[in-house]
Amino acid sequence: MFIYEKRLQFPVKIKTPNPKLASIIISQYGGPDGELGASLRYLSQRYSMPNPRLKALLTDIGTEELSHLELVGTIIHQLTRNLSDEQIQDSAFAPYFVDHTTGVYPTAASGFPWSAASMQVKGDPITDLSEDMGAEQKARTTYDNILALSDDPDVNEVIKFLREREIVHFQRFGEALELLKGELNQKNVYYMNPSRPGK
Amino acid sequence: MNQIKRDALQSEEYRTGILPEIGMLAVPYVPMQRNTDHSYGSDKALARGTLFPGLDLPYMGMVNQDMDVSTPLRELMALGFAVHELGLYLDTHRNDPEAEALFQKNNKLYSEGVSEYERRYGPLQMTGSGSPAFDWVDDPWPWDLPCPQPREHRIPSALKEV
Repeated sequence: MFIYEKRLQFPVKIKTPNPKLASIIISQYGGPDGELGASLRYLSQRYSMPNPRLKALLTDIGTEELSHLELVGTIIHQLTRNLSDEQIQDSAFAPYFVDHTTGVYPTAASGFPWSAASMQVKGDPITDLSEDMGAEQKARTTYDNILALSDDPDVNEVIKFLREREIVHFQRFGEALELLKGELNQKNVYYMNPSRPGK
Repeated sequence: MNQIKRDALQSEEYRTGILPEIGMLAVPYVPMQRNTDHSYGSDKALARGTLFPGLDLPYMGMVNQDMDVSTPLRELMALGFAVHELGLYLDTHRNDPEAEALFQKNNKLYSEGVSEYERRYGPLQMTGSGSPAFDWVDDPWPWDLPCPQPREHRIPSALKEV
């Protein structure tokens, strides 16, 4: 089960609203490499993991991703507060505004709504952990790109934190793969699907 | 700490991990992180996004300044982050007594911090302690801009709407 803790993982205090910046950062809420997909990917992949340490790691990182979803949602919320009609008309935020006002909706910056097609649960632990390592790299690149486009120090402080988490998670997923490999046929790790031993 | 570990730190060897002697073909390798000897303090860890300098790899030299953790909430965030980061490390390093001791130490500090915070600012979980009334519902929620106010400074919500 899950229990909510009424605090953020990292402080968010954005002084200046900026709808244009919000229309870029929304991609890490509901885009193809965003935090919603990350949490659902890891929390869903847990069931076919054969080893208790892998179950623990996917649970713990998947849960952390939900707190990152909340951090990105908080950035969007604070960047779009108290906007005048003029501020919206003159910005790239207008197409989002017409559909969602200033509510926080899981969509990519390109306008494509969040889709489970952007993630996978293959049911093979080597495949799934390889996907997870790739997913962390894709999210890191997205945060790199946000840092390249944003000059708001209040926003960038949080983005730098989120970006670094992708690197730590990549390391842990890589270690998880090492642990898994140690339990497999050393001459051929692809001899069978480790989630279906003996089949 | 023994001499070998000291030498390792001096040569920045904490930035390297353990690779197997013979690598298999056709499967990725990420070296196992060696140990948690060289760790940031919890306030610096929160600012940098990791407890471990070997994993601290910023983009284009963009680095957060050390965080002011003088508010109770930020102190709690820093401790909670250290506990979580060590928890992820222990998920993949089951037999590391030093990391486990560090985890237990930080976890104890975090639990004490939660009790103190809840006493002053209200519950962190719906069933959190220290709540005379059901002030779980009270603003601010985490995404709101004003910081949490101590209970004694809080305006009852009925008055706010006047």
